[in-house]
Amino acid sequence: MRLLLESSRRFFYRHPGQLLLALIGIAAGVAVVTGVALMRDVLIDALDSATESLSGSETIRITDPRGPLDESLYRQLATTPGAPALLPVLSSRLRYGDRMLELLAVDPLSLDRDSAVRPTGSATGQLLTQANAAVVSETTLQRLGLGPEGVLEVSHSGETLKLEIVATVSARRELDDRVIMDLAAAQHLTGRRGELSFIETSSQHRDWLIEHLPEGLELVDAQQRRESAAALTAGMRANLTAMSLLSLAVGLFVIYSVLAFLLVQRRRTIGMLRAVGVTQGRIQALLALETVILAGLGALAGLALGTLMASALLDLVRQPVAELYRMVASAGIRPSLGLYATVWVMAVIMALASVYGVLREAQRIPPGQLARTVHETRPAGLQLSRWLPGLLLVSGAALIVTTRGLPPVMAGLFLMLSGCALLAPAIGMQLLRLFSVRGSGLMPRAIKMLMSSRQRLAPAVSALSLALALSAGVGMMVLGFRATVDDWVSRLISADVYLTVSQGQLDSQDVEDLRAWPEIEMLTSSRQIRMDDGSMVVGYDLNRKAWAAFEWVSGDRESAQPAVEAGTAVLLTEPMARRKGLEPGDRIELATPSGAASFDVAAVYRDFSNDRGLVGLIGWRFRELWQDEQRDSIGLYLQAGTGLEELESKIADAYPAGNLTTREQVREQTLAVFDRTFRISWALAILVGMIAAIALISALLALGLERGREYATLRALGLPRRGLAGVVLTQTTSLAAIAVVMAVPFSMLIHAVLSLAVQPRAFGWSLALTWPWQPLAVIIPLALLLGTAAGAYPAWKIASRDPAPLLRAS
Amino acid sequence: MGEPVLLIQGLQRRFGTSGPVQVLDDLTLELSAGERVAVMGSSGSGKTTLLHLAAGMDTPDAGEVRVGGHRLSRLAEPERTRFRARYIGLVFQDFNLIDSLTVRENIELPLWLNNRLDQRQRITELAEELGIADLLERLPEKLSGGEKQRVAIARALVHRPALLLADEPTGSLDQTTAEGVLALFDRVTREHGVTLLMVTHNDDAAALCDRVLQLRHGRLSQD
Amino acid sequence: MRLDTVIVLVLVLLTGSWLAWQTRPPEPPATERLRVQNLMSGESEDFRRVTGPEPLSFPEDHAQHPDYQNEWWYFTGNLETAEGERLGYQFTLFRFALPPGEGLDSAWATEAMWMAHLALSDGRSERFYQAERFARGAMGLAGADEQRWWLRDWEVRLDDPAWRLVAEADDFALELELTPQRPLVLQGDAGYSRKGPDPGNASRYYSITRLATGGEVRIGDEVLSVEGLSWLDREWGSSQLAEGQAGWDWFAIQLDDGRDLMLARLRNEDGSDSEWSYGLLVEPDGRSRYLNAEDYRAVVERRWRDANGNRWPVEWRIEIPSAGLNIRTRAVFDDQHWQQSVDYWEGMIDIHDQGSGEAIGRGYLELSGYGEG
Repeated sequence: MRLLLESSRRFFYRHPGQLLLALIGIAAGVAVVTGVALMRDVLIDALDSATESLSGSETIRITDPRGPLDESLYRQLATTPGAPALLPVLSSRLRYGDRMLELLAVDPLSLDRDSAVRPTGSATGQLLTQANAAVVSETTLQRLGLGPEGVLEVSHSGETLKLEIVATVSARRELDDRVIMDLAAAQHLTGRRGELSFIETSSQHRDWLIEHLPEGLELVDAQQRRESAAALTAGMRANLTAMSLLSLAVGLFVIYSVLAFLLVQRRRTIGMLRAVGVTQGRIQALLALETVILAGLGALAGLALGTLMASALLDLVRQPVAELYRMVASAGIRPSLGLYATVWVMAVIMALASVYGVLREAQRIPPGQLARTVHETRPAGLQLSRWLPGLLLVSGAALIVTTRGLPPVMAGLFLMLSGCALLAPAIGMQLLRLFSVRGSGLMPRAIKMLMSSRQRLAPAVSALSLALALSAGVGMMVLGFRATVDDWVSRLISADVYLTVSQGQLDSQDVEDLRAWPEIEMLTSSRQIRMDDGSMVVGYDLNRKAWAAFEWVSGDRESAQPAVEAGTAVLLTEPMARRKGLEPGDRIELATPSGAASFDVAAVYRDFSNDRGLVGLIGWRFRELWQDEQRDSIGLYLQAGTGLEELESKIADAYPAGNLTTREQVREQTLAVFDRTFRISWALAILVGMIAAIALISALLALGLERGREYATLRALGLPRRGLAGVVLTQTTSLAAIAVVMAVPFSMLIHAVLSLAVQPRAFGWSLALTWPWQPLAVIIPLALLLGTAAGAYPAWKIASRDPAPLLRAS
Repeated sequence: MGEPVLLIQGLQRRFGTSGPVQVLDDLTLELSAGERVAVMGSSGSGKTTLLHLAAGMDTPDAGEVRVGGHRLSRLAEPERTRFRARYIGLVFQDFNLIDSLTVRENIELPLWLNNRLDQRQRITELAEELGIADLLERLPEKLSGGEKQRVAIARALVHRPALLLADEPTGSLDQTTAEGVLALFDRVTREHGVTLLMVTHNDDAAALCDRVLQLRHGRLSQD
Repeated sequence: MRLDTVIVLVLVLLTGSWLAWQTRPPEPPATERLRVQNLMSGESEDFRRVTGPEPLSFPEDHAQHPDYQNEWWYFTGNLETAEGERLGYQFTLFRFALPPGEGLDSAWATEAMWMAHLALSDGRSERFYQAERFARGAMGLAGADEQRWWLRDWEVRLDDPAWRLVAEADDFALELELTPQRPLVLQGDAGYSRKGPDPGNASRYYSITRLATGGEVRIGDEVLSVEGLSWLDREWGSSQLAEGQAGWDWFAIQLDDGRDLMLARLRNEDGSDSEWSYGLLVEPDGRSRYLNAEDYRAVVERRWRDANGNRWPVEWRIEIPSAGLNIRTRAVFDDQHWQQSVDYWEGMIDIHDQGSGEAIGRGYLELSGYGEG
């Protein structure tokens, strides 16, 4: 075996490019998988571990399902004999630039002795007495670009707050992007006197709490919190996972194509080894060992790259999670040895599986095969029946159409993409044949020569077209989705301008006051309550224009409006209806502070604001049930001829803390959130595109090595250098061309499945299928350019070589 | 007698940088039109190097190669390539057919490279002459060794080169096939009045030539 | 081995260890200790200072004095089970005033930070139990008025003439009734206890040196009936320690002959005895006598080394010629070491006559300023 390994080693010395590409290919695939896995973990585990690092143990949380806790509960519990240590917490969101921070206000004196943030000395005094004293972790301080004792300028509900950092605590990732303040100061600053978000304590005190807790409060343990965080981000994580597995598949194609090529290069060596008595088993073991070493090294590098990538891209995931689900995830990834080991072993096993065909082929090399010409041989892995691709496509489609869950649609997509992967080289080569049949110029000849390597190039063409299709398909889905959201929001926003206030609240009295203003024609208003599962209940006061702005998915507008206005029926958003499996005509029960209330489902309408869903009911009924007179916003419809400036100055007088948002601003804000949400998809699409480039370069390098003798013959026959360079460039460009041509229909397929099946199942909303052309307009020229550029170097290199040595070497 | 077709004078060629091996040392050779010369020598004696230098695929360290009056050493690389396409025909030991092109396309290559596709009828003529007319539309990988070498001979002759260079043309063939190919080679080169430089260590191959030279210690000698 | 193999292995090792390093558990945060000196001295312009004798009145002065920076209610006591087994306890409520606040609109806004220390010395197992709590002086979480001194559910309530102390920690609890055996005594000059060259380096200080104590003590699941004697110290001020003072050794001794003795030996940072050391001798009839630094001599006889290497003087020889006392004090066991936010030693001691070796009383010893160097 030692000798065999020596021969492998020398081979790689002679072809370092091949070695490097195999390593890069597997490393890139593993990097994406690792990176995504790490980012997913942040979305599940690290979401609300901040308070755990404050309390120092596995915790249980007291919450009030109806809203904020009354702080007197804390006094009552804490002074009860035998009370455990309880941590009162008030949590709010702060905005720092375009970043979301969580304000965690606690009683520092209730913190556990082991707590990370128990401040000492003068900092405690400052926290307890200063209105703007805050503590952050050292890493947060660095992330925010502040020095110690800096001033942090943040906004809370539109109000600017200047917080003085009086101390830092040692770096704990759970406290990333958290600002810790004293309860008194935070209540004072945010105007939330009397409120607590929750009370936290060690979970070992569950029994004591059950015994002493008043009715109506809930105990939520860490596991439940993780589960609900996981449920909230399920759609997002599914998206990430799918992308990462596709990337790995592309990476495996690269390693397959490299190893298959290496085998061809070494047929003669292997034949001779067999001739001198090396058994088949040993040859197999050698190749398997080689694969394990290559894949193992590549995967190791991939783990490191993935870790770096996750750190770099984490913000792209955290930000939308903060905006959409109001959860500030920790800013650092938390890799575990288990995760690393799992990914590494999986990568090595998959690499072995992917070169299975190569191993089988090696087995078939007869002893003493010394023929000088390298014949095209079909790798066993691709010797597949003609009907297999069709079968894969059909069964994938069937799986998607006949099921309802998200995993089957992913599986179906995978089957269909596998079918595409098998089809791509075959169809692509047929296309090339069309070009090469006629004509006797350089290009047809070059293409013809290329085609004789079709079996060898098949994995590269598959990988390349799949990767391109994936990039373009995801891009098309995102752009199509964006257009849909734009259309939806433009339609939904019917008022001219919306009034909100940053401090204090709007209530029914304000609505009545505003209604009397001569500038205002009519009003709408709404009040939202967030439920435990992340869904919303909204009390609407609507006028005819606002009613008309709803886009109905199902239900009858004519009968729905009166039923909702009568207070007996509610509207559901599409995600809510889908999640609960409800249709118009069904009944839905809502938990309200006045007890459970049951409603008819009047209609289902389109909504992209909340993937947990939303229940809309008429304002007066909402106020009756929730005993809540507040309004989050009031939509103002201006009388014809009223200028916005006029209204602005009047509002500024009447509501000093008031903010006016125009229709166009609402639309822009919505789309800005949308764009931030999908930044990670773009980033992954680009990464996959980069793997595609690696696949292409690896294929081209292999081509150059394999065709070396032919190129030398042509040169010997008198083909000038430029002619030969033309041959090479034609070949590489046409390789890229067939890949991109095949990628076009595949990308449309991916786009369609993502839009029509994955989005509805992951998030609950359906998308109209549109065909944005921009991604294709980018990838087609880009791939051709890449093909040409990637061919340029080998073309130059091959052409500038003297043909003699190549001809001599056999 | 006119200008010799191939004139080699004082040719020197060394390989390697540290302790270089002197492969050709002050070698001189002259071939007149229609003359057929065989160069014999043991393996590694520099036969193939000599051929590559004559084809302009390699450059000598010293000395001169003239083909049809062209001084190869004075030509730049692109001109040498054009010269080779125009004046040289090459037959290799292991054929070096382009696997991805049909027999016809392989033979057509020199015509294409010389922009003489109007002379395509020569492909058929030569194919008939060499007995490979039935094979024209096949791919090389389907051919036997003898058939491949006949295709290679056709490719080497199709553009009427001034000089045919053959490197061990029967080296990859079995005895019987080799005899058939040699007979054919003999006939065709004679009929076409080809000037031939063949390197070989096969006595039968050498026998068909007008002169047989031995390459020893980098120089040629008459037996 | 070949060079390339070595290079690959080195790269693998480097990558592997980098990855392993990524998975390291988060470092435990460094916890700092409060420094008693910081709490007891320092700037106090915002607060009143004790600069001379002032009349005290009760029960009003049992309540907190928010104008002063710090204040404590300090119980220690030696207890015995029915079987005669030794137990000691400490319950202290500290108030540290905060700098003036900004008038926050919140019920949590506070002017003071409160700390409570609860300790139990179990002479049977020589184990020292301790628990510490903090709370703000708001939301009813901590405070002290004439009738009740409390921090969350730990409290001392005046049930005239006795006090009831109730405090429960995870692994131990106290429920005691404390009845004064003799009247309250004012320390120093009518309650003005001077500790340094500046008249403001002083506190207001009174004690009840002998309280008959009875009740229950829980250790783990074991509940014990106990009886014994306790001592109450009450002190408030704004800048007790002078510059250059490192700590103190405080003795509260109840002698079998009915006399009670308090010694506060102040130490300078250079290790010498401070001329401002002081003490108090209380006769059985309640009359008391002030002792100054010249009136007594205290010599360390033995030190105990804790796990951190700090050496605590747990055995002393004390001579008070004017009282005819030449005694030796010995810790009942060595490790009665407080190790939470504050590092000090507080434990029960036995008193023996230096000449005869006879046991002549019991007491409590507090050592401060040894664990922070």
